[in-house]
Amino acid sequence: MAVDPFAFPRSGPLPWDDADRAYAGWVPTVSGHLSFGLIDGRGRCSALSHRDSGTGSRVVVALQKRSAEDFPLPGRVVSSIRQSATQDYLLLAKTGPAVTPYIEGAKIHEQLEEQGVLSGVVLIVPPEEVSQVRIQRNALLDLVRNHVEDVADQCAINPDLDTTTLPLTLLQEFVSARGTIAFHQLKFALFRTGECRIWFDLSDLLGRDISQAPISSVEQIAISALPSQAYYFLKDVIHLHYHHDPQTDQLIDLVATEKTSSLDVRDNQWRIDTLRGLAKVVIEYRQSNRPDSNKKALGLLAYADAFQTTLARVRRQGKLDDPMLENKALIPYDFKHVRASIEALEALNEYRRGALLQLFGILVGVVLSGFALWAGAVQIQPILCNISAERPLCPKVTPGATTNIVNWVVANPLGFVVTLSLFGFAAFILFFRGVTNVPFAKPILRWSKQLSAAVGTTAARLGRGSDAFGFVIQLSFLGLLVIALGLLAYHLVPKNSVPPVVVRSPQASTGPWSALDPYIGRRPRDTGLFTNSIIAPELRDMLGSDYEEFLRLLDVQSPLQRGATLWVVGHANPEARDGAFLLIDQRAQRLEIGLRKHGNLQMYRKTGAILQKPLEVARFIGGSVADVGPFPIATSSCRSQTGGAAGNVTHLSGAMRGLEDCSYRFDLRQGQSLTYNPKLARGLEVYVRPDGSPEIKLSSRFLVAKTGMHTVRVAWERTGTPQDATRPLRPFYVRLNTE
Amino acid sequence: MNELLFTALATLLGFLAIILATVFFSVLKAGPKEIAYLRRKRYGLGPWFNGSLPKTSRGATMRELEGIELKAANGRLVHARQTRAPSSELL
Repeated sequence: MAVDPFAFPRSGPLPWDDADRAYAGWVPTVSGHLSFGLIDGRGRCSALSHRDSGTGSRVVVALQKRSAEDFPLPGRVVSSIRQSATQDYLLLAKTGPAVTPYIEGAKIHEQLEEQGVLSGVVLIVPPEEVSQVRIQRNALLDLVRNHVEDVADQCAINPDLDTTTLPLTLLQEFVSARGTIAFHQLKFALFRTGECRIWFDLSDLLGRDISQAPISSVEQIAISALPSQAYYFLKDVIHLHYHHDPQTDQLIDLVATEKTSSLDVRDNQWRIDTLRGLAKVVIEYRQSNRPDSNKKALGLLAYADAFQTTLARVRRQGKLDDPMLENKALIPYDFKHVRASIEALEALNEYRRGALLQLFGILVGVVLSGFALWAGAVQIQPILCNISAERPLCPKVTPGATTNIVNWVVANPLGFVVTLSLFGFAAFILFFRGVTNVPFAKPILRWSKQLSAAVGTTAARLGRGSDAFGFVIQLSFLGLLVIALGLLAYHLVPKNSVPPVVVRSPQASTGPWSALDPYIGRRPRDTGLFTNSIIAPELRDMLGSDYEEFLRLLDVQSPLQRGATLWVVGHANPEARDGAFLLIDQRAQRLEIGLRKHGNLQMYRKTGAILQKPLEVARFIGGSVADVGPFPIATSSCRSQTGGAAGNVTHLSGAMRGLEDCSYRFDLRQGQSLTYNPKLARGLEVYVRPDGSPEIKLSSRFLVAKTGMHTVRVAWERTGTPQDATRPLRPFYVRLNTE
Repeated sequence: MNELLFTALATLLGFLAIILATVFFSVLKAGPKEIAYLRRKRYGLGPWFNGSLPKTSRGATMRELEGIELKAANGRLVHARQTRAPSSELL
């Protein structure tokens, strides 16, 4: 009768005693009793755990692809480039009877459990680089995967399905492929107490007769490293990692049970090493200042205590049927006091954290209340000023950082949201003392810290062992990363530039057009003066179809400057004489625009007095005799245009209401005369006023007595009745000849 | 719409910058002793890239991760390498 390789012996020598290599470790169980029914709790394997209704034996099969996680990128990503980083692990096992020790009243007891041990094999299948073989290897693994999933599906429908032969069937599939497909086989036994034994003969592990050829260096690495990897795989499949990262598998080490040592030492040492390792890890957690370290330490302490309670206190004898003895070599740890210390530390940390959170709450409350009160005061201030009996003037508010911030917030709502989010995030990190609670932060931390440490260490080695140099390089590297990310974030945020608020110039108006003050000193193209500002609609209305021409003529433009009025002047291109200017009277809210095309100047101006022109605009106008131009019908306007072969005809036109008038400036020489035909200007009156002299009504001809500037004013005839003021807007035209 | 996307992206990058700033300050606080420790262990850009930190401790540890690289050719093991890297357990 064939021996079932999955059956664990009830008696006789320990099965791992005769193996070439044997190891012992612990699969943590806080209750002291592992459940073999809870396999692959995280659902990362193709797994089956089925209890045979006849024998009560449980069949466990699990197939998992595992990658080394020691690279800058996740193992699965690395394995797409470097296939060797990922292997397939297959667990084939059955439960069977075994003695389970327990301690009651300081005395060791034993109980035979029918399903007290899970025993079987772990197969590790490396990737294959020869394509033909790789196809066979992958086909075999697919066969196993499909088989396991099919059986699991059938078991869900039929719990009485006989699965007891499944592990052997799958093992035979691999054994029959040996020589073609590489795999490494290790035996294991996992007891209810979590005691885990792994053993193998070298020929099983390497898949060849080792007497035929010496063990190569590559095989030596496999011999030393594979038991630990099989152990990590078993822990991953059987147990969930509650108190540490799943990748941190070495919190409990696998201990080699040396054949050379006595049985006592062999069976005691792994228990002592495991307990010491657990205690060491608990202390390492306690010493860490991470916010969750104390809680992790308490969790691990529970496991250490569970191990110390039973497994650390017993030891096996030479045979399975020998009763377990007390492990007298163990000096127990006082975990009770360690727990008290950690709990006190945690309470202290909680107290500090609570105090910090209160401080945080108070600070946030005070800052927000401060802003709210300030906003309220700003609204109330004018009311209080106005209801006072004496009507005192409100104190002047000097612009400063606060007003600049308020302006910036109003103009940049998205930037404000980003800034607040970053402040909140930074405050969270500051008050919770770390970023590891932030989702996805840990991989970033790990990556950046390890990379920067690698950069710093390499620099230190290149710098002939100067650690300070490496430290500076590490800091510089991190600092550059931070700055680069910060700058990138800054450039991505939508921004509106807001010039700083300045104290109002005495020349500036207090009316709505005072909003133009921030545009001063900057080119209109950069500020949107002609397109987005408060004057833009009026500018379009006045210029009508010439608006685009105006923009074109101001292609090379000066900044907006303040004189008696605000002004800007420019040209179509650097060499062109054609150009335009704009005058803005902030107080009177009036505009005056000049366009020069092909030497002819057209002026656009609102009715009323002529705006005083700065020197630059006067130079721009040059020898033009007239300075006003056409208007849209809906708006009162004064317009002028020079004409005639010698440029001696000036057409004055526009649109005025009853009491409005239009004024024009002429530079005339002594002896020149101004003439017009009153019959062609019915209903109009034309006046001339030399500078420094009274105004004279022009009948038909005016002789210039003295060289200088003359103001010509055109108005509707008035009757002296109230109807003068109510007359509608009407166009007018006067032709003036200069001789 | 683009503005909202850029705002979200900028917020994420800002968070990333703050996370890296915490690494900067933790390194600053720890001083050059970590570089000295890693230099003695022959850590550097190569070991970081290849996951080849030399084994520096025996027994249980939470400071290192280990894994393995294996490759076979025609059913015979031709490459095996123990990989190791500093753990992020206590970051």
